[in-house]
Amino acid sequence: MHADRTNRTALIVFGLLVFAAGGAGITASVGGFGQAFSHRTLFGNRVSAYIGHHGWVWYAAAAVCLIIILAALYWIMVLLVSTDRADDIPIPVATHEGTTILLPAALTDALTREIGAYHGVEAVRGRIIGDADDPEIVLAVTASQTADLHALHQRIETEALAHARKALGQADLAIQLDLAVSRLRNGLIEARPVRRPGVTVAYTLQLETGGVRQWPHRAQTRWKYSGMCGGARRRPTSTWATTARPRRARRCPARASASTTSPARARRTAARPGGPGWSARASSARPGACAI
Amino acid sequence: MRLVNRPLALILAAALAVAAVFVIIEVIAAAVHHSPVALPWTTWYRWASRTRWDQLVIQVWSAILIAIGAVILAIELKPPRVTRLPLRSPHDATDAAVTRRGLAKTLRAAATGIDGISAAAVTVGRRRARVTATAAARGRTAAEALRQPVTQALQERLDDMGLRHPPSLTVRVNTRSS
Repeated sequence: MHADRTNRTALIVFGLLVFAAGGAGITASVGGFGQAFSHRTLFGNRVSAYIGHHGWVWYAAAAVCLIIILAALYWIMVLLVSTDRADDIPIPVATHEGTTILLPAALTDALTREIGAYHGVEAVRGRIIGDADDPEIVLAVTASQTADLHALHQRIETEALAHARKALGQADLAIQLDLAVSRLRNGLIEARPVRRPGVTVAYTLQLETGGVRQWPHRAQTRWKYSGMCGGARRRPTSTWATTARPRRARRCPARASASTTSPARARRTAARPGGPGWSARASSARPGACAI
Repeated sequence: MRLVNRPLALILAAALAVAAVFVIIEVIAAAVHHSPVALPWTTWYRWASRTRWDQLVIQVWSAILIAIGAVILAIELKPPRVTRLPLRSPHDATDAAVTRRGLAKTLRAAATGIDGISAAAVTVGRRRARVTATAAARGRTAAEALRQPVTQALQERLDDMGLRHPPSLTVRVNTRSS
């Protein structure tokens, strides 16, 4: 049951009924059904008289109300607890000895990881909706402002989405792909190790808006500059910081407040500050420099 | 739409369930001659038995019902705002699109990437994209000179995106105010 569609249908029906009742009332009141009718009382009609003389109508009404209660409770339950996410997806295999099940999270993880590694991609979110037998993948990809959206779209289509369709064995697997563009206009990321072994601090020079969404799930100290800034080695004026991932904190509580990026990502970020894929301008594409 | 519909639907479902419970209670109470129990329906019955259709109270309540119904229908039947612009996709089963805001940011980045443009405001609608760029230099001549390269750059960016129905482009270049 798709709750949103049902909601809309039910509300349209309810709105029509209320509108029709009001219209009928005002029509009767102004004499649209005859002047004689408008002078009658509300119960002065044949339907009211019939109901008044036949008690079974009320028992029938009570039975209908029972059905309405059950339907309303089911509707409330669907509204409060249902989700459109797909269950475990059975993979068609050429064997009768068992069933292979693919967890939706595994598929979305693989997809987001693959697309997240593409050039110009800043963030990826994915989910699988619909029936397990006929799933639909919904992907939201956030690209940098300088990314070539057409090339990115083509690459996602021919690589990641093709892999997903192959994995599920469904060549016509429905996929919704939403390409968004990052809010970050000019950015320069400098990653460097600090004194504590294994910990790398990633400084993000963010000139326009807050909220670098590239690693929302990682513990990371993010610095936002509000104006011209000097060298990255100088401790910048911080406006806010976040440590969103508690796993590192459990392993090493003393490092929880520091930024923790993986060494591989640290190398990657350190190797290409301001390079292709980053949204820094050429004039600001050197560590410690920024332009407003 | 979904944000409005869910609470509305919840209220409607709860109201229907409560009203149905009251009806059942009163029918059972009337059957055992203990009515009314939960609602003063006998008072309402007497009121309806003496109220005529042409009275003002009926017109007022009818107008209220019409207004409520019209509001609900307007909310539900209003076409949703365009949030995504479809892209040409090599696979039929892929519904690819760029978000309206994403397109606006891309156009804005393209406009501000041109030398001489200091800022740009972009509004993307269903059929039209309006870009208002601000020239870094003062003077109408400088702004006019930038209009053609800005338009060309933005049109190229739009064409490169592979939109199924690319919006028409309207570009204005303003001079910097004081």
